[in-house]
Amino acid sequence: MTRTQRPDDSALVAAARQGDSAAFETLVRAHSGPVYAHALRFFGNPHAAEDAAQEVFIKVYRSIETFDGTAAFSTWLYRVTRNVCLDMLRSGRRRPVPVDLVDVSLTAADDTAAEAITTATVEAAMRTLPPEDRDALSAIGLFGLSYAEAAEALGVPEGTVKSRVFRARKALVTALGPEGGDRR
Amino acid sequence: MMMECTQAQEIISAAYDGEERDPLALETAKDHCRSCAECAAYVRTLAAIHRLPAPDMPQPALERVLETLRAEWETAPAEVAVAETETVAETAPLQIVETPFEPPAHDGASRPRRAPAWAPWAAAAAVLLVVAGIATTQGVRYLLQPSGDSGIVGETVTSDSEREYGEDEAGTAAVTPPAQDEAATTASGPSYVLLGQEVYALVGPVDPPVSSGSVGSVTTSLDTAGPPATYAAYPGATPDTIVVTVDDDSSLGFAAVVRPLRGTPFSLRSSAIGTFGQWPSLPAGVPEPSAPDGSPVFIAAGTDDLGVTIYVRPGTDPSSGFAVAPGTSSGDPAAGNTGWTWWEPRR
Repeated sequence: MTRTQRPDDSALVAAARQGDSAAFETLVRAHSGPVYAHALRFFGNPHAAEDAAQEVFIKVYRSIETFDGTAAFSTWLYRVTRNVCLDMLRSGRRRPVPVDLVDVSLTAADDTAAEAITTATVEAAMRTLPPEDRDALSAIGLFGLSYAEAAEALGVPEGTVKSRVFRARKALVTALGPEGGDRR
Repeated sequence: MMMECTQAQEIISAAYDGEERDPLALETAKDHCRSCAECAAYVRTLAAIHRLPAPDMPQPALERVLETLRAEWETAPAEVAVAETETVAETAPLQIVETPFEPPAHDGASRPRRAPAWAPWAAAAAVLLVVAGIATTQGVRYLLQPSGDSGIVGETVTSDSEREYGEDEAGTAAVTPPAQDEAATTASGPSYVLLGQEVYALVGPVDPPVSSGSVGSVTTSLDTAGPPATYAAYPGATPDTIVVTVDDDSSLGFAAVVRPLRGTPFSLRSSAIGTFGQWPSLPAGVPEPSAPDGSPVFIAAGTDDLGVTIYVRPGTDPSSGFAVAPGTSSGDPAAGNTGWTWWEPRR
């Protein structure tokens, strides 16, 4: 049951706050993936995603002194990313996280269906999700937030996050699974 | 123990996030999935999805971003300071209309005109925007303290507005629901009060009202964590302003948050704002859209005089009220609010 391992951001953030540009660059490199992925899912366009990522990190750089560490850096970064995308408009998304949390032995009735799933098909399906469900899944899957952290960032109860994440996954599975038809 | 498919799938979903705390429930869900073809397919597909990496930022794109950042920090601290200073005004959510709109139909004659007290306020609107910006973090008491020391205020603005900037831009305020977290909202949102359903933003301390003719009351805990109290509101020097008497010695000026449409001022409306820092929600009776394009509640209906897209409920005309989507740019009267806002013509 492992979640996405977060790098130890606090030391990097502290250094960046002191003006250590190398530390900030390390932060950017460490977190560019989720930011870009969120934006890509939000916009469905790599160029817009790149623009959004750039704006996110510029905002983070300019306001990192205001980050007091009360929340996790990832939570704060998620908020910035979400707001930047909202500012720029449109949608998209997906999630990492190593699996095998649920060691259900599946004697593959339809392994070919699972094998047919690719990042591209998942990303396409992600963009069909309702924005609020996609946002929740992005917070959890991409940024590695806990349900409680996502709830705080999204301004909804924890139970709502849980149900949105589940709803998003259910929709993805329906779209991509054996019964799901459209494989794109 | 029997378990429903949906319940089992929900538990498996939570387990993927490390959020399923009940090992027995998880085991039961696994058992269910082993014996249920539909749930087995669900888990298999879910696992396949999880195995895939999320899209990563292409290296050239990352390098371009870093290049831009290097240029940013090479020109640092001066430029950063400018940006933060600009943000103070940009993120201040209120708009003070220095040229008053048409006098209100109600009690215009009875309104006190205390030009000596209000003229400097109007004239110093820009400065007071900044003061209003720090009110959220500094607290009303700070504002109410006798000062007369504009230099100190100016210095304070910079540091506090930096915090304001970060939180606004970072979305702390924007995503905080009303009354979700008093501390967070107090620190992040604007200093709003409601008179009826009309939203007013704090401008700063003013002289007590001369007239005893109240225009209503506002219920707010101001910047405290205590329960809301009700304060009498009196007309201000312009139709857009009110004076709220906090106690015998202290009064605060507020200005309506307005945006123009076809030359007519429309004011921000909400149903409940109990404390400073709480963002306005849509008024009762106006449902929240479920999609970024406003559907299914709103449809786009052109732009206001600021060039911001406005939305109306199908079959209605913007003259009776319209919505504005979250994400308006800084400088907008509702900047910083990622929720939908609702605007109606000023009465």
